[in-house]
Amino acid sequence: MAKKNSYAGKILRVDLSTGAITTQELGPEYTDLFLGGRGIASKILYDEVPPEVEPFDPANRLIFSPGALIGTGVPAASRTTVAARSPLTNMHGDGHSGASWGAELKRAGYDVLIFQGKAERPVYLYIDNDTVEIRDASHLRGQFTSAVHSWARTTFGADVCTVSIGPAGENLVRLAGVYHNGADKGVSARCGLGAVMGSKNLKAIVTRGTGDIGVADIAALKAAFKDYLDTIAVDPYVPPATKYGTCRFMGHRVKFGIHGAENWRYGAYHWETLDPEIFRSDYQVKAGACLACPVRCRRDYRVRTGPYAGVTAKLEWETIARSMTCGVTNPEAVIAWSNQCNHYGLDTEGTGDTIAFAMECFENGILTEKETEGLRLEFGNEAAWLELTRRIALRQGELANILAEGTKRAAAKIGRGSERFAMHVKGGEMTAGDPRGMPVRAVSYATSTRGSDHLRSNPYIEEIMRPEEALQWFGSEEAADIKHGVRGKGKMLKFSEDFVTIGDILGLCKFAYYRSATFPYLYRKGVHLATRFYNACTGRNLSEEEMLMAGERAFNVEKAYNTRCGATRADDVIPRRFFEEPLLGGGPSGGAVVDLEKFDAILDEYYEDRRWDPDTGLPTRAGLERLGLNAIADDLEARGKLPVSDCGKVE
Amino acid sequence: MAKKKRIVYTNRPWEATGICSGCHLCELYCSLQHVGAFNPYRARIRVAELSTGVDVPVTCQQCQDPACQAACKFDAIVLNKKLQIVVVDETKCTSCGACVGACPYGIITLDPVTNKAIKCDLCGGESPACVDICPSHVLGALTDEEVSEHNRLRFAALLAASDELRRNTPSGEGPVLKRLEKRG
Amino acid sequence: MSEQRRTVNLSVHLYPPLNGAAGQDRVQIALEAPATVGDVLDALVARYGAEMRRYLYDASGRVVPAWTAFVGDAPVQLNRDEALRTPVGDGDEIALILNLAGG
Repeated sequence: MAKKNSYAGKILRVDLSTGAITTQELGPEYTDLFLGGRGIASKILYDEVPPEVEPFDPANRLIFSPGALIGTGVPAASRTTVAARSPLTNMHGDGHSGASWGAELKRAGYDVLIFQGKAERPVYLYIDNDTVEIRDASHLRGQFTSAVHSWARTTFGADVCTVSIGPAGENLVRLAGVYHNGADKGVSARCGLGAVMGSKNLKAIVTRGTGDIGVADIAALKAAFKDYLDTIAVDPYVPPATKYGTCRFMGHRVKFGIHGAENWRYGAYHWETLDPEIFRSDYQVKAGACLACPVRCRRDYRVRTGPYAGVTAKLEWETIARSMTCGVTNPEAVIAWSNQCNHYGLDTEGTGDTIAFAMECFENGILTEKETEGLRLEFGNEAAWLELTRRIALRQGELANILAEGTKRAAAKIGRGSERFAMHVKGGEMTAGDPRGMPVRAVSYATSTRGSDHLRSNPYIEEIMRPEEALQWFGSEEAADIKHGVRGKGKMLKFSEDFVTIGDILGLCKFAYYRSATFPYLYRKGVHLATRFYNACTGRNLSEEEMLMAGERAFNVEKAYNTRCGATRADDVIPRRFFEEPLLGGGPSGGAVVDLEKFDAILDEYYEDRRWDPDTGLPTRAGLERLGLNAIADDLEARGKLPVSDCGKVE
Repeated sequence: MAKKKRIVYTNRPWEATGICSGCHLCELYCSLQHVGAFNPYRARIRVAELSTGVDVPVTCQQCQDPACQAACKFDAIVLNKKLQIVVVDETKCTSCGACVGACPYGIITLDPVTNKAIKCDLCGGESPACVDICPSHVLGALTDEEVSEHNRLRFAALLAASDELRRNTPSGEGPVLKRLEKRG
Repeated sequence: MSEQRRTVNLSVHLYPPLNGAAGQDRVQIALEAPATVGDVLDALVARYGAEMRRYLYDASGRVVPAWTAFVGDAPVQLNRDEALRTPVGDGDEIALILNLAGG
């Protein structure tokens, strides 16, 4: 009798301090309002990790929450959320990955896996359906992510899936990621999650799951799948994804002049050697796919000749972008760097920004050659860049040890005015492209709940909307004006954040559902079809409004978490460089700065639309209760974290 | 009588997306078709991931003299006259696993839920689920003649591709320099 | 005596997926003066056919709003009909790029 519901129905909890392994039912208190993936992870984090628990305390949780639809045949239902209190931001932290480990966990019978406590010595968790054991991992100490996965395949069979940290995570490097299925399949990179895993002495998770994942309404699922294929067949956004992979985003950065090169100083930069066509023609060895995805936009590259000959790496766009942040434009060096980060277990985004910070310090004499231990940390110095990356992963040497703490802490430690070179938001290193010249993009880096994050916050909708659509949805035609628009942008930002969160809750890839060339295609995929898929798989009957609200709810849980950790409007800000220093290098955004008045106006409109107090940026009781988050409102009030003016007005 | 077919990996290695991408949609929809749920371990087609990162879909070769049938002592692997391939009779299968050990391709397995032997049955002669769903279009249900023609054309394309490569880079220096040159 | 027709010669850089439809990244087109961005799109569809049309226009026949035309260094967002009336001059370098931001 086939299962008629895609939920596995259980939470697996592992206490690494006591060795206790327990399961509990995944009840409606989680699925009704939070559905799965990032929704459930954020709620568990809120409930179980109060601000008294520091990120490296054993009581911090490391939560693995596959998207609600992972393991089904819903196209691009591939993503798993990993969450913990972040050692970088000291607030909510999460990361995602499209590798298949999360599906294996669900097939083993668990929708969520929670780690708490700390093992006395390095361990790995072994899961084979009902068998769950904490096992000794001393033989894996110091091993690369790739080596852990190979060992698991050899020992347990080629079908096993793994999660692992590399030496970086073991060394509690705050830039360490959590890798799924080895070095080249996917990584939950941001927020220092790898360091949290390392702090628990948890080296790896090995998983086999051979159970069914059910579906309530097969016919409805198939009809929605066909609809999805028809939608992407006419969307010009999709063919370049399939043909080039994510390195295609170079074109946009070039034409809008928003590179973030040399530690976020240059918007236009010499990019030609990193042309997507060069990656595709000269280095590509594999056009791959995440689980169940028809878009197939992941890429593996190999260098065949020269000093980096033989190096192979999965390489995605932001790694190329952050290479330019370090002044490096040699594609072979970029592939080598990605390889190094993947195997050592580092986040390329944060590591790139942190090294760029060090490079600008060196350029300005704030770091001497003695302090860099002989490394000439000039922008574009490939050898120094690669060597410093290796040292950071291993905390080798005093400078690397400082940089391993991330940009914010490194700047605080080094002092001497280096803070102005530290490019982070709330401790999370800068991402994506330069915000000067694009008013709402600037605000979005500030409002993301996990430090700077374009994936969760940047409203790409502004780049595809017609003025009349902007008027209808956000109250002003101006919202469709990328360079000059202010009115409507705050509402657009809220909508974008809620909308994209649906993807993280269901496990749907943003590139397959939350990016498009027209707003109707986008809405059709990201809300309409996402809702149909969820209902078809689970047998529930959510409306599109309820699905959007689920996104809004999860975002608010994260906001409440950050509020409880002490964040206010004062933290919703981006580095001063963007406000004060004109963008260098010429190009379409050359000479621009972020206009503080526009920034504040958009932020005001955003807070109002979010039903948060505009002065403090804090969530209000009315706003939280509207989303069913009454208990969270009570908790915040008890801690004095609701706005003083909040009288619980009902809207 | 219709000609015997088998599922073939019709990859086009000269095209970047003409190879198996490792999406596993074939496995997911094969299991959905046969057992009404998603479970690659119950699929009759399996994507093997080699340690080099290459993915290859593997399924029953529909052998002329099936080793699985020869190994079965319970007459549970029988000829389906319509499809001209052998299929498993689950009423007779005792889950002994002899067929699993005998198959030279490692493609007949025991279903982890029912414990019965499972192998590709071409979806009963309807349009195979794996062929339909593959986004790279690298699976086909081919007759022997079609397989032969596919192999011949593919071989020819590979020969032609290497010719073209030699023509476009007379100096042998490779495409990178050529492109950088063009951009000045 | 008839007035000599002026030609507007343009170099057009086609970003993905248009380069797929045209078979190349850069094309030269010649239009009658006065010419506009809209005329450039029409000429591309006329030359490269259905695939080009499918990428540039949605089902209702309007330009897909995510296209940006660069006339020299100046971006012209094609999410409003009047943008198509932007003039282009002889010798202008045009680029057509999808607002393909994502990550």
